[in-house]
Amino acid sequence: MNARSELSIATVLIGFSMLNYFYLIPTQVVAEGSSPVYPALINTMLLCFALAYLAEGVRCWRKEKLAQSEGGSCSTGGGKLMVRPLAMLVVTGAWVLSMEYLGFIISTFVFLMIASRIFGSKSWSKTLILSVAMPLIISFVFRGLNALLPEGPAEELINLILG
Amino acid sequence: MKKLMAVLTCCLALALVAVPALAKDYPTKPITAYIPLSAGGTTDVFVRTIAPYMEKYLGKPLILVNKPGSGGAVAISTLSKAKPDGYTFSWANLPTLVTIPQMRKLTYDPKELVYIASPMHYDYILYVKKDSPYNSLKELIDFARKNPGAVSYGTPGLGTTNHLGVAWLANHEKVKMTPIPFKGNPKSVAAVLGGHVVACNTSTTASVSAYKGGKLKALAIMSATRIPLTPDTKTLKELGYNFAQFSCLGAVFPKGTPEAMRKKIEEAIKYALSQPDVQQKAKDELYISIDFLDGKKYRELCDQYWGIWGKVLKEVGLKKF
Amino acid sequence: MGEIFGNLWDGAVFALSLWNILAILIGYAIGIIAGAIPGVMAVTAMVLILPYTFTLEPLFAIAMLMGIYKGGAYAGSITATLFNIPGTPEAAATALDSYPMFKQGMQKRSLEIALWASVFGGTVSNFLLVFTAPPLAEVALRLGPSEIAALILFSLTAVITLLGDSRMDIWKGFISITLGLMLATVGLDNMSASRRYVFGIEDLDNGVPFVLTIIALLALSEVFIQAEKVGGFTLGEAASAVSKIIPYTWKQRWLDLKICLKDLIRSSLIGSLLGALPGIGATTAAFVCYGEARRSAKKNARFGDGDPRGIAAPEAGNNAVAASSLIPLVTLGIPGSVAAAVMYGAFMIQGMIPGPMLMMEHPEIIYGLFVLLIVTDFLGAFVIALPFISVVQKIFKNLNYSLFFPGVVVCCVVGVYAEEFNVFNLRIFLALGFVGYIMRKMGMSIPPFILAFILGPILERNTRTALLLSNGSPMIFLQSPITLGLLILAAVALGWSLWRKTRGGKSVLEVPEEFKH
Repeated sequence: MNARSELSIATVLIGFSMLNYFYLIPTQVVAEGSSPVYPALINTMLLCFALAYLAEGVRCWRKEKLAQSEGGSCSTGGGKLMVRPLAMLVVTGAWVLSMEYLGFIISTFVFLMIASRIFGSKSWSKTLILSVAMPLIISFVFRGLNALLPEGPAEELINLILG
Repeated sequence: MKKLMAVLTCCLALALVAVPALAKDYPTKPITAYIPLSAGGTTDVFVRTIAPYMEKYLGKPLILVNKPGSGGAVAISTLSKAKPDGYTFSWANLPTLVTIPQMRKLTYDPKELVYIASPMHYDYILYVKKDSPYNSLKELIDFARKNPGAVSYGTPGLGTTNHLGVAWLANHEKVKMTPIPFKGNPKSVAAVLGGHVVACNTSTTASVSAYKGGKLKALAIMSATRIPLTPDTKTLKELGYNFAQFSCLGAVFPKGTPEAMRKKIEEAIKYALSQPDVQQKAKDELYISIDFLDGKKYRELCDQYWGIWGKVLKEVGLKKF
Repeated sequence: MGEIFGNLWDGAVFALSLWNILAILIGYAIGIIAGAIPGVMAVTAMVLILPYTFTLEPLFAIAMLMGIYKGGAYAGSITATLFNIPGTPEAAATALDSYPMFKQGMQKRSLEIALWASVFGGTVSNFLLVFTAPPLAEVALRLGPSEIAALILFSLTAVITLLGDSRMDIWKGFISITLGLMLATVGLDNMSASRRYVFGIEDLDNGVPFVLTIIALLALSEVFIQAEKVGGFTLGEAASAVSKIIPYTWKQRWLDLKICLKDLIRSSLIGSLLGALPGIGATTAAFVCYGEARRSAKKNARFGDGDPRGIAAPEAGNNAVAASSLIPLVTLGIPGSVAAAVMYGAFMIQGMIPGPMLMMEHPEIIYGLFVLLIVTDFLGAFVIALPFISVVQKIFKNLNYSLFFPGVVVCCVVGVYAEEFNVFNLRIFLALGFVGYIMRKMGMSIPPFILAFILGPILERNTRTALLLSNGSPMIFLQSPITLGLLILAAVALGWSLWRKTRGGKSVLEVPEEFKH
């Protein structure tokens, strides 16, 4: 991560703490009847640290400008966000949201099929075995424990078969 | 297309035939029941004790699901979104239906629910530490009158009936006592044992062990009747107050569930409570009082206490709705 | 003292039947499997099994639950070591060193250190439970809100050692701490029974559940990180390390014991003390022990890069919590942790209420339980855990990572769901997983966030309770010698750690980027 992105993160954090001061605390804390002391205290801490972070970022940025070579960076962390993690996020989100409507078995099957592709699975047969077996095994364990997973068409079918 | 229409018509006809049959044969599949608390507490164990007998009566399994959170509001809010087909009901403590809706904005209206029945009420006891100088409620109140704010009492949370019960008492006597909210009854008992607060108002089970071990002194029964654990301790009513702290466990269906199904579950609860097994376990092992209220009485009591607790909530500044 | 031995003997005669030992083994096996599956907690397994104990023999049921508890307390470290995905929150601190050690090809060493440290910590706290339960419980009771607040503040300073060495890292670490404190304020404010940052959603009233948060930030974010690596040959990274497994010799074992012994003892004691206090828990104990081990080590220690002490300390600490969290339960009848609450339920199902009465009326049951506890650690370790580790290692060799990581996500989601059966929690889980991923990308370390998230609410609650008791006067924090002492200690610890960090220059070993959380 370069100094510029450190600076932008620090700015975002400062922006968030402002939002917290002027919008979130009044509407979500004070309006509900809670004491704003503790949230405001933490928020002030956040603001202070974010400012310090910003200052450090500026120092870094200057240094980087001076020494344009690769050794000049003093920022930590690194790497851009990549496509696959974002795809994973979207797929997992779709799974979690659809679970209530599709039921656990079907939604998990679809999720596993897609997610293992994202993770570069090459063997269709293995993927298929996992995607069928895992939801079934989990749902039978839960059934055995008399606990509920979100239900959908597949579960109703099993209920019908089992009586 | 025509074929499809025909199939659809058939399905519809079948469904129409099937619905009345369903109500009559109810239940035809397992019934889900939410428990608004985490596993392992007294209420949870009690519900799980009566469940097998209810299953026996209904002929279908009950699936008990622990859905803790927000003083039971999470379970009831999930319930209120469920289909009113008789296959989902929830256990609920009185505050979830009576005090919490007056304290914060919720996504359900408890008055719209179908009240099935109540199998038990809770008993509450006001304790002080064994070596404390107060031997009766009067002594404690007299001390509080002379030293405003010096008497602190532990509660399992602000706005719980444990808090409101003592708050009523303090208001009635016009003394100042400081409520200290802890995370649950056991911690409030622990605070008395450690000498951090003067008194605590707690449900029976949380205090059985410490009381029997001789570490606590019972000053008064806050609820309506004397209890076997502390047979010599007088109730508030006996001490001359026209008040009793009331909270009970009950079962509710979502709005619009047919009466026949409500009746069936009510009977199942009644059947389970009549088992000697259950009665003996409740009395000797769980220290709770079985007290069956049918749907109508249960609803009446909830409505009555809506007003009583609402007034106390207002006095302590917690009533917002 | 003699009486205790007599009681123990009676308890052993009463409890050590083949059946009960079988119960322990079954329980330990369930616990180890549940604990090793990321996202599924041993406590969740206990809760799901609890209803089935209605029909079991009392001691059989309780022994089995005890076994699950103990098995789960260790097992989280297995996936923490092999995949940098802690199977349970308690193992989060272990991963800081066990994963780096594993990457150097010493998987057997890191798995075994974790196991033996667990046995050590568990055993020390078992004996403390047996011999010092009543006085320890008395101490725990005497600690009032102000003392607890000071103690938590002191524990929180252990965080400093988890921060990086550059100034940038320290600021980022502090931001991470504040964000953790902030997330913990979501939910009902118990001191006023009103909402904070709830946005009208009832499901948020009880706050963001802590197990969910930790699994999301550590396990789910790791899956996202791994997703980046797909395409290169480094998926699962460790796959390459398998080729050069370094054997774990007896000599090495002896050396490790010598290095770790001091930390083992200290961690077991810290873990036992923190465990006896209600509500603090194993995750905190593990981090505090890790922090203390690091704080007391010399500057050239390889912490963060596979130091054996970095594995032994947190594992001994979190396992010590297991037995000592039962102290308030058996001596006062007050469950001090979630697991203890489940045990309480198990006793109640069997028609017993744990506490001083049970101890007086049926000492053979309580002491029988103690004997079983002592036996559990050894039996479980030799009969279940060791074979389990070798099976896991075999599976691990031919693991298909492209199927494994999606499977991990499924396990996590199912585990999180099974805790409260609430679909809403899954949404928070996913969101926090991504937040964790972004934080890691930004170089903000996660452990300080977690520790602040757990300890923040306890600190706030106890501070405010103390102020409520003193009618708002802050003098309450200066009156009790314990509170004052702890506060001074906390200040000194904070100052000293920071001074050492900034003045002492960089540590000898540069910690490679990917080893940091």
